[in-house]
Amino acid sequence: MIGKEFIDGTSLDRTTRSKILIYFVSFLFVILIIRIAIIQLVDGEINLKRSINNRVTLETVKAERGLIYDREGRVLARNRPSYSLFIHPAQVPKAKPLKHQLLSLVDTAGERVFEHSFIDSIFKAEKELRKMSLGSLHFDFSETNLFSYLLNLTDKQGTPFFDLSYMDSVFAKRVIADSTICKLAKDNSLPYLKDKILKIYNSEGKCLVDTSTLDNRLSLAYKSKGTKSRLAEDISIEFVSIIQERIGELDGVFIEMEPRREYPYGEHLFHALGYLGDMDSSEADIFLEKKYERSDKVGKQGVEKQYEHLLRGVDGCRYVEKNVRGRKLGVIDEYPSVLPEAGHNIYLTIDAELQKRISDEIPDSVKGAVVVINPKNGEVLALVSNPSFDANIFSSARDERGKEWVKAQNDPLRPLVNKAIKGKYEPGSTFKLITGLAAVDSGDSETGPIPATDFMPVACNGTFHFGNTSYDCWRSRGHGSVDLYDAIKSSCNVYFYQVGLRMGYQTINHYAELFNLKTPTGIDISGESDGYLSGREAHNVKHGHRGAGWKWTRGLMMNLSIGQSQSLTPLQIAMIPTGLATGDLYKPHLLMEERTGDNTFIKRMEPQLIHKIPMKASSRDAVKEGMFRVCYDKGGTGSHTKLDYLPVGGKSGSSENPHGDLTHALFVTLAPLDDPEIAISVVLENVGHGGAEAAPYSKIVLDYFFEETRRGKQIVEKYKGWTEERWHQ
Amino acid sequence: MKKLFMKGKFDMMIFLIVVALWVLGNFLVYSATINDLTGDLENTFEKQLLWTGVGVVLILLIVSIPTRFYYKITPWLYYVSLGMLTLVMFGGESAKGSNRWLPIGGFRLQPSEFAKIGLLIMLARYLSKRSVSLYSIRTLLMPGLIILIPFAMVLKQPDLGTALVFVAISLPMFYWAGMKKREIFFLISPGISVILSSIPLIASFGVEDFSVMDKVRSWIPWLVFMVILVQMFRLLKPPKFLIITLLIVSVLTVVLSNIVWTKGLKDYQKDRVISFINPQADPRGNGYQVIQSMITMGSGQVTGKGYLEGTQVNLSYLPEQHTDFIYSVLGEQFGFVGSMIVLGLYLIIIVRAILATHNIRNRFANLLLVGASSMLAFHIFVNIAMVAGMMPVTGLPLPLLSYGGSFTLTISILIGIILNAKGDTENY
Repeated sequence: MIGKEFIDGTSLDRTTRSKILIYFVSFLFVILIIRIAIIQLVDGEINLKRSINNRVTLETVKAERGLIYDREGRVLARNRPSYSLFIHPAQVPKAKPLKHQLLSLVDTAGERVFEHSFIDSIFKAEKELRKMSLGSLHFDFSETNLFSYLLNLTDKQGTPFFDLSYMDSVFAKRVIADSTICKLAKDNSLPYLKDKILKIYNSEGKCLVDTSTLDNRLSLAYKSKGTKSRLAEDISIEFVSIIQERIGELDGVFIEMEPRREYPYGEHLFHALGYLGDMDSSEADIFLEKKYERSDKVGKQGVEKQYEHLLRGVDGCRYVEKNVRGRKLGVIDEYPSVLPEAGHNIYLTIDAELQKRISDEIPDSVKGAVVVINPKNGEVLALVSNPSFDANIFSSARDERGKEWVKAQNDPLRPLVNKAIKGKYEPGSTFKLITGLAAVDSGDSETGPIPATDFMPVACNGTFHFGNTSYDCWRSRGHGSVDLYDAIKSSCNVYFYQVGLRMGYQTINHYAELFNLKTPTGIDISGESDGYLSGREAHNVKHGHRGAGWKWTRGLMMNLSIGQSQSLTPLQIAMIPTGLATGDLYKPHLLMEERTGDNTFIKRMEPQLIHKIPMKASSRDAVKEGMFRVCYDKGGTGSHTKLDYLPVGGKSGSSENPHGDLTHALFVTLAPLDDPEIAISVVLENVGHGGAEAAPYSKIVLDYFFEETRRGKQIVEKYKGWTEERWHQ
Repeated sequence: MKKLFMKGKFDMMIFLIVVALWVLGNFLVYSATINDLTGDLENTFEKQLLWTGVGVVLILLIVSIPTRFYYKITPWLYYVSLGMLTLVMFGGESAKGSNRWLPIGGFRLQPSEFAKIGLLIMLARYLSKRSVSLYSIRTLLMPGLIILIPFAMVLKQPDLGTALVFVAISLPMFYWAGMKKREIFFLISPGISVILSSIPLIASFGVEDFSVMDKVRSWIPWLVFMVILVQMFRLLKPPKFLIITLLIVSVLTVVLSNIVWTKGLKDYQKDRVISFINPQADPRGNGYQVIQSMITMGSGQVTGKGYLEGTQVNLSYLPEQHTDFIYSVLGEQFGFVGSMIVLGLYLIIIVRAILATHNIRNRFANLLLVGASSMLAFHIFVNIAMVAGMMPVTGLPLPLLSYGGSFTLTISILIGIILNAKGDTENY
């Protein structure tokens, strides 16, 4: 049947080959036997010890989060130790099956409450019941509770498992012994544990956690049974010692130390720094992929979020041995471990003292923002959003945090919103700097640039007529005939109406875009809004749905020229003086330096040039001359900010707002005007005129910077002998 | 059926050992899953009971069909297994970063398991009429192709463990089909070269201050091997073309392994390699599994803690305790004695299968026996070595004990083939 070619060599040949194969396999088995003998016989005893209740666990050693400093080395964010109570659901003993629990019930006479035969008959028939335990019955093991719980157990069709008449007869004639109910409670480990935790009080009679919080946390914890979850955090030393005393009753519960973030400048820097919080479920996957644990806190908002990757460091791990009750005995050195790598420290461009001065001065009832930038490199010296919120709340105990958080969320002053980068405001007259620059630099398409010294055809008498509408100047008796310098100084609307009409919105918006007023500036924290510049297309897109009457008309050019139709963030408004400083527009940034955890220098953030604004130096100087007059000339709107030892330029703005009686007050500043090192924008809601209400805050910044900082004093030194006559040396 | 039993061709001993191990396996799976907290392992035991029941029937079925029938349908079985591998490439289900499963009915089949059988019998059929020699490369073209196609497809999933099973089946079969020991050595020398040349890569992985001296030192094993290889060339004088090819291949592999390491390997694969060579590098993940596995196994000491008395498995600390790590569950409950008895039973199956070749003149049957027992031995060795912390976590289950539908069926077929081939003496 099988051909000759199938015949497999000689018998001897086969024997030799099969012997070799058997030797080889045996050799492999001998290796296995030796190895198994080592593990089970030689190391057996150690392994047995370690296996009892699984004494060996892999423990994460958290890396210390990097610290945050300001430009002068003041600490802005640090870590303090704190204690938290954790639960590891897998270590909580499991509840016994319902059948066993019911059979263990004994009445006061010592007899079984439920007869064996009855219980058996039910449990044989009903497969679902076999897997049940009283674990789903919440603590309170009174007879009545047990009675109604059992009666409520139904199969899928809704038929009760326990017959009402039978149950009645059982519960009517017997009194269940307290001791067995108690035992039931202990078997029913989770509710028992819960009860034990709820009964932890300190000497003032305050409980560790309240019922609803504990319920929430336990249900969360049991969603991931294999990992530990927090039950209570930042607990006092008193609680720690109380819990340690009772830890024997609390299987699966333990205390661990974890660092908490502390912000010495809490309320002053909330928006720039951000805070740490639990990860959202939406971002959890991304973090878990990066080897985070679910209970890790992550940076939310601001610098903490932006530089999470620098600050976090790399967690280590090690094997620790625990006793039966979960208490740590020590680290097992022979198993591999990984040392944690501390996160990097970062130094911000922020001057915390300046930030504090500003935010202390603005009343808590006023909404607004102040941005201070170094126009030569984009470093942000202050980023104030008012009112603020104390980030230290996030490190406090959960319930208090929740209360404060809800209060802040419902506060009409919106303290949680970073108004400096997210709030949108009409720039008002501060925008006239852009309109003015566009006029002298480009002008209209037919006749070209409009010389700064030119008067406009119509002198200002308080109103300007266009079509059949009249447009007011803010000063009802008018400014007369003014050139660009005086138009900026006195903020004459009529002048800017006319140059605006000559140029059209395209030219003005072209310059506005060069100053990065349309797109977000790209500052290194998230949540920044973009700007809105108006113009025919933008206006029609925004208002088109409201009907024909809302279409763009040339009359709207009036509002656009004087900054009454745009909406910009305070940070963008700060880009106006920043761009005028040298013509180089740098991206505003908060990160100055990165260092290792032990403060060894790693790198300094290089200034990032957005672009060189294409404009003639003479055009820039013309606008600056106007800004100078704002502060130093009689009739200027910014006399509040002038310094007598070096030249300052400014521009006020008062933007109308539909909601309040008073206008929003704005002021932008540049100093020293001929070689600027500091650009400021102040935006305050509903406080009145920019020159009167916003300019004083600029002055606070200038005073601090030039009188109290090293760099400021150096600059002042250079201006010795300067007189208020000219803005350039 | 009865007739086969009567004629004494049916190896009752192997059959009984297999059934005994399956029974034990079911008990172990039960003990490993009964106290699971997550609820994911519900019905695992019942399913395994079903699979092993099907397995027994499958063995008896395979035994009762004459070997020559398998010889005839071999190509079809091979093509079907390739077809399934192709399907899994396009319509498979993924888990843990690899694409291995094919949903059929309510089950998830793992085609790479059946590809092991497909490859085994296809190779046996091809080699049953031909001899192979490394010195005449031509003879290796077809067998090479037969192996490489499923090998590449499985590697793509990626499933390194199964791909290596293919190699482990093939080498002993080549040896049986005429290849000499030295040829086998030359054949695997590129593989050894890859492993040794990867030492510098692995040693420098994650090490910041890896100095030039460290680098030189880490190359020494590879250089020593190359010297040995060249000496072998001088002593054994293989054909020139082979020397040149092997030298080129050995050097090429070094270059390739560098490229694969830096560009091709996924992180979890790198982790596995690293945790094999240096468990210090990964105390989490694989390192954790292996450490827990060793504690579990070791805590059984001489006689074990007794059935259902295991403490480790009860707390679900050991992941995949019912599949890849079942041997440590055995070790915990039945101790060194239990571990050794099981090893002994495995050895009896393998040795009986190989010894049977003494009396069988049918080369197809012999090749089946050699291939099937190699496959068993390889699975057993790699799995237990992994559980005992000697090898990377490759994901190869333990024959007859581990939970798993496709795997249990594959092993049934394998045992069926062994018993069938053993009974083939009468054909001459």
